[in-house]
Amino acid sequence: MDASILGAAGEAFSLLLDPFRLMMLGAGVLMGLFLGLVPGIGGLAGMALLLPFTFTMDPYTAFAMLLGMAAVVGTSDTIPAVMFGVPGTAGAQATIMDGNPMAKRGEAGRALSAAFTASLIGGLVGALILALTIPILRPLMLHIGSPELLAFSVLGITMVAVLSGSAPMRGIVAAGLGVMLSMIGADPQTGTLRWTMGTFYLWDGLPIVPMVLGLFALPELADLAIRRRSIAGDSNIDTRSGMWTGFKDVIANKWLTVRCGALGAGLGAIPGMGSAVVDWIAYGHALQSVKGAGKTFGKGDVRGVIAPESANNSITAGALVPTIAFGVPGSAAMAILLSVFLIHGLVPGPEMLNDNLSVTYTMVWSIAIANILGAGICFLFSGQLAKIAILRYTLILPAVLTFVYIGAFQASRNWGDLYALLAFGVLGWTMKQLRWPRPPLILGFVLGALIERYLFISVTRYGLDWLARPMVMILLFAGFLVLAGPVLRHLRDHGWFHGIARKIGMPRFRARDLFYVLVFGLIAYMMSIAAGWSWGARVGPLTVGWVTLTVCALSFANQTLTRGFSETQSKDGELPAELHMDTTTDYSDLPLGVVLQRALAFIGYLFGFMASMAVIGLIPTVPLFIAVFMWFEGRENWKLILGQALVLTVAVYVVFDRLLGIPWPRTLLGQWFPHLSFLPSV
Amino acid sequence: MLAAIQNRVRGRQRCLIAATIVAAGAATSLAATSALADGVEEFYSGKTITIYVGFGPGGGYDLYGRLAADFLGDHIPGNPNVIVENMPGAGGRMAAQYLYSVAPQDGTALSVIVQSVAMDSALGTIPGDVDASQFSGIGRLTANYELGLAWHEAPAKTFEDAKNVDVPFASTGAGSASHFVPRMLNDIEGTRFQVIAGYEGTAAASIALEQGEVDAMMIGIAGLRASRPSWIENNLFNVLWQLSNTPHPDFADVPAVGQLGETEEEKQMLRLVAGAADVGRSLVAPPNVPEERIEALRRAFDAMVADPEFIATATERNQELDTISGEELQAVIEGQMNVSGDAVERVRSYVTAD
Repeated sequence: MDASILGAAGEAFSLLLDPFRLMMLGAGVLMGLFLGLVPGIGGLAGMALLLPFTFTMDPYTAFAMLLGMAAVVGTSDTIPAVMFGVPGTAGAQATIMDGNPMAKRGEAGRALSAAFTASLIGGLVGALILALTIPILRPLMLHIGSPELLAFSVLGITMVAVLSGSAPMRGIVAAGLGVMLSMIGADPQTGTLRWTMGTFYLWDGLPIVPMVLGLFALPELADLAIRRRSIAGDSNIDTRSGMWTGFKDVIANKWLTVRCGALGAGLGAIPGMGSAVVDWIAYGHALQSVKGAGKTFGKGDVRGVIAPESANNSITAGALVPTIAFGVPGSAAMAILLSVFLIHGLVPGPEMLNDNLSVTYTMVWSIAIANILGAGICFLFSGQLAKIAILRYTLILPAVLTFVYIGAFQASRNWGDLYALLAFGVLGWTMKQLRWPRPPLILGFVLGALIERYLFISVTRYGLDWLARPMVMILLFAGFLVLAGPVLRHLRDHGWFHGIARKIGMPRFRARDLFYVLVFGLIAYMMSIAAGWSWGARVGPLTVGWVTLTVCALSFANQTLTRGFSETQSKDGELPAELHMDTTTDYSDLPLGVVLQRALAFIGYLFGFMASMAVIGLIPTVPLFIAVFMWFEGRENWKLILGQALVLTVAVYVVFDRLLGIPWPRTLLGQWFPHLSFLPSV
Repeated sequence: MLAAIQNRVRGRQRCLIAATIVAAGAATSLAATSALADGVEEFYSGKTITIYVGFGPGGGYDLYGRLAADFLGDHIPGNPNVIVENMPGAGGRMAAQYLYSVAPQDGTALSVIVQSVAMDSALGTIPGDVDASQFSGIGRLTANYELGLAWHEAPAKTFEDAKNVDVPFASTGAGSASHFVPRMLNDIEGTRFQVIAGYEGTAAASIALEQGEVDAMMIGIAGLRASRPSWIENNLFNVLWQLSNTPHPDFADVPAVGQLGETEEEKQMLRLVAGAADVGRSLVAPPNVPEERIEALRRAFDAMVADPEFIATATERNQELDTISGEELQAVIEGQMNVSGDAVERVRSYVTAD
C-alpha cells in the first residue's frame, strides 16, 4: 500500500470528523437500527426514504448518512429474530435457528450480546477488506464474467446439502420448489409471463420479503399463540451475566467471526447474492467447520448466532465493491446509492479509485463508524430487551403481528404481498411441523433465478467453453466438495447401500405423507402449464421440475419403505443421532385437539386482520385488532389494552403513513363513504 | 464526433434558448386564460399533486419526477404540494395502467410516463386497453436517445461493418428495446447482431462490454455521459446506430433507426420503435381531466422549465434538459400511434413473447 492511499484514507477520516457529517451519520445509524427492528423493512426502504434528503448535501455527508443507515440494519435485525423468531430483515433468518432457542431457554441476553459483538466485528472486517482491496478492485472484477457468476451461484446452492440436515432429499425438493418459484414472472429470454396467474403483481417475480416473513415469522408467532406462554416460558432470564458471556463467546470464536465476516463481504460483492442467502451460507459454513456442530446447532448454540450475524453486517461493504468499481449495483439498496453518485457528479469506475479516492475512503470510514455506533447502542439496551422474553404472549403477539403485516405489505405495496405472506405462512408452519428443512427453499429461490440467467448468457455466448475457464473450474470443484461431504457422511451413517437396502420393508403410510402428495401435485401442475411455453421459457422450469419430482418420489419411497425399520428401532430405544435443520416446538404437553383448535383460531385472526384492512383500512385495524386479541385471548384489563392500542396506532401512523408515506390500498369504507377518506389509510 | 459529446455547455445553451421561446409563448397564452385561472387556483390551493413514477427510486424516471416535483407546484395557481410516488412494476406499464384507469382524473395525478408508451399502446401490451393518445401531455423534460454502440476493440466499427461480422449484443431481456431493435435490424437491414439476453440493466451490460464478453450494447446518451464519461474521453466505443427518428446533432452521421427500412411497412415499423426517444422523460395527465386544469398544468410546466432556479438545479444534479411543451408532446405521441395494422402486427412479433 503506497503513501497516497494512506493519505487518502487519512484525509477521508478528517473529512468525516466534521460535526454536521457525524451528526448525519448518527441520524442514519438511528434510522437503520429502527428499520432493522421492524420485520421485513430494511436498508432498501431506508435508502428510498432518505434519498431526497441527500440532494442538498455534499457527497461526503450524503454517503455518511446512507451508508450509516445501511450498515447497521444487520445489527438490530437480530433483536426480533432472537426474541420472537421473527427475522427483522431477510438477513436475520439464520440467526433465528439458534438465537430463538437461546431466548426460549432464558439466554436472550447472551444471544443478543454475542450477536451485537459479532455484528460489530463482521462489519469492521468488511470495511477493512474493502479498504485493502480498493486498489485492485477493477482488475479483479474484470475477471469475473457471467460464467464466474454462474459458478459462484452454483457453489452457493450446493450449501443446500449442508442446510438440509438429516433430510437431504427433502432439502432438494424444497430447493427445487424454491427455484421454480423464482422463475415466476416475465422470463428474460422470451418474455413469456411464467405463472403470473394474469396479475401484474407477479410480473416482476415474487418479492422475497413476504416469502421470508411467511416462512419464518408466522410459524413462530403461531407457536406462541398455540403454547400461550411467554417466550422464555418459566426459565430464568439472564441480563447482565448473559451480556458478558455473549461477549466472551465471540472472543472464544474469533476466527469463526472473522471468517464469516470475510465470507459476507466476498459474497456481498456478487450482484444478486443478497443478505437473504449470505446468512444461510455463513450458517452452513459454521455447521461444517465447527466441531460438534451437528449435535448442537439448531438447539441454541451461540456459534450458530455468531456466524450469520458477522456475515450479514459485512455485506454492505462487499456490495459497495461493484458499485464503486463499475457502477454495477451489488444489491437493490446499492442501486439507489448509485443514483446519489450520479446526482453529485461522481462517476463510479476508475475515478473513484484515484481522483476521488478520498470519497471512497469516507465510505469505508462511514461503514466502520456506523458499526461501532450501532453495536454500542444495541449493546446498551440488550439487557432491557432480554426482558421481553418474560412478557405474556397477549402483549407481544398483536404488536409483532401488526408489524409483520406492514413489513410484508411494504414489499410491493400490493394486496398480493399479504396473500403471499399468508400462503407462505401456512407452508412454513407445515414444513416446520413435518420436519422439512426451510432454508433450502430460500436458497433455491434466490440462487435459482441467478443460475438460470447466467447459464443462458454463458451458453449463448461461449457454448460449452465456459466450463474450461480456470476460476469456473475451481469454484465448481469447491461446490463438489461441499456437496460430497454431507452426502458421503449420510450414506456412511446409514451403512452404505447394503445398510439402506436392509432397512427396506413393507411400506407404512402416515397422514403426514400427504404433504408429499401436495408438493408433488403442485410441481406437476406448474410443469403442465410450463409445457405450453416456447423452448427458452420452459427448458429451465421443466428440467428443475423433473429433478424435483424424481427426488420427491424417492424421498417418499424412502420414508414409507423404511418406516417399519425405524419405528422398531425407536421402540428399542436406539434413536439415531439426527440433525434437524430447524427450530423445534414441543407441543407434547398439549392434546392434539387443543393444538388444532388454537392453530385455527390463529388463522382466524390472520384472516380477520386482512378482512378488517380491506373494509376499514390498515391504521384503524391496528387498535381494533389489538383490543380484540388482548381481550378475547387474555382478558387483559382495559387500561392496558387501550394504552397499547393507542401507542401502537400512533407509532404506525407516524412511521408508516407520515414518514414512509406508504400508499395504502383502497378500502370498502372509503368507497362507500368517500368523505371519510380524511382518516389515514381509509 | 466524440469530442462533441463532451461539449455539454453547448447543449445547455440550446435548452436555454428553447426555454426562452417557450416562456414567451406562455406569457401570451396566460392572458387568455386568466378568467379561468380563479377556478383553477381555488381547486389546487391546499391540494397535493402526485407524480407517479413507474420505476424504483434512483432511476432516470424517478430523478426527473423528483426534479419536477421540487418546482412544478410553485408555478401552478394555488401552489399545490407536489410529491413523487414510485409504482414500479412490469417495466413501467403498471403505472401507465394505473394512471389510465385508476388515478383521479381531476388534475391531481401526473406521471413520468414510460417512454415507449405510444408503441406499447399501439401493440396493446399494457393491459386494460390503454390508449396513449387519451393521456394529456404536460411537457417533456428531456428526450432520450439510445445508442447501439460497439467496443473499440470489436471488429464492427460502423453500421455497415455489422452486416459483415457477427456482433454479440448484450440485452436486458425479451420485450426490451435492447432485445427487439437489433433483431429487427437483422431482419430488415441484414445486420448480424447476436442478441444475448439476461443482463440486469445497462450497468451489467457495460461491464460485459469492457470484459469483452459482448461486442456491443444499447445505452442512452444521458446515461452514458453521466456514468461512463471515461469511455467518451478515451474514445472507447463506436456508435453503430441510434434509436430515434432524427439523428441527434452530436451523431449526425450515424444511421437513425427511424429513417431506415426499404418498404413503407418497414419504415413504419422502425419509426414506431424509434419513437421512444422523442417521448423520453415526459409528464402526462390521465384522460378526462378538465381542460382548464390541463391548460394550467401545461403553462406551469412551461414556466417551470424557463425558471433559472430550475435550470440551475437540473445542472447541479447532472440532469440534462431538452424540453418541449405539452401541446408538442401530445402531437408526438399521437403521431407515433398513426401506424398501419400490418406494421403493428409485425412489430408485435418482435416485442411480445414468442
